[in-house]
Amino acid sequence: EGQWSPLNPGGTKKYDREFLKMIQGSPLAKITPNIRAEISSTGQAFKQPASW
Amino acid sequence: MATLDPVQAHDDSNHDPELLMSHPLQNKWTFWYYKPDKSLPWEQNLHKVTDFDTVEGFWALHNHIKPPSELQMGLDFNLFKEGIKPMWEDPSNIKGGKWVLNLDKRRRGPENDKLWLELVLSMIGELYDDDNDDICGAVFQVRPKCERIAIWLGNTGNKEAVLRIGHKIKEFLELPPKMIIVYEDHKDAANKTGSMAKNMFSI
Repeated sequence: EGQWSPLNPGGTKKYDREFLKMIQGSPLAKITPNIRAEISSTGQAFKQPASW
Repeated sequence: MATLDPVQAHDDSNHDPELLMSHPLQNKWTFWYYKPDKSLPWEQNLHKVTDFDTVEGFWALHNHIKPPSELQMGLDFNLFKEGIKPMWEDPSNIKGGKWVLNLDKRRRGPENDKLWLELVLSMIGELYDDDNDDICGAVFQVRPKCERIAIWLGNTGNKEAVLRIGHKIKEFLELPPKMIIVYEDHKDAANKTGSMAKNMFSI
């Protein structure tokens, strides 16, 4: 019932664009996933992927 | 959306409490890219990049990959719900089709990247009311004559949902009325060559 929150863990996880955009600068959004050089924003791999 | 004790929030006034926690998504998503190499079978040209199931996980990926318009010619970005491969033969796609937005090459660049981002946000945010489950994923293609964005749906037979989703895409991407999107059934697209696929709907 209703929107998800820590106090309503069973709620629907729906987020509008303004809310989603607010999260772009979150410290957690700065963590780098494994990305190959050819698609990484810097042109360099962020980490060597374990397997492809 | 999350709540925090007001006193605690006040003490930590430099940090929005929403930025200190992780926000789970309704679905887990898999990000792939496709790089054509004619010496390999088609499926081996498809590379899985990463999965994410939180808003922060999405941005961590987005903040570190190229904007799609900067991809090499011939490459695709694909974002699909976990377990659905970005190919029409996948059981979740086989009865479906796609809304396609062909972007003029002159518009290439940040404007097209913004449209892709808005589309992705609408999908991961589950903004399609009762029709979220009909959505399988989305594709950004870089081709010689155009860039193309498509959102893949799982059930062409549900025409009302197909049209509702199409109208919502135009709304979320703020497309002017004269900018037409077309719906192609995967079966039609597979049976005909390239752009000769029949357009079932245009809005």
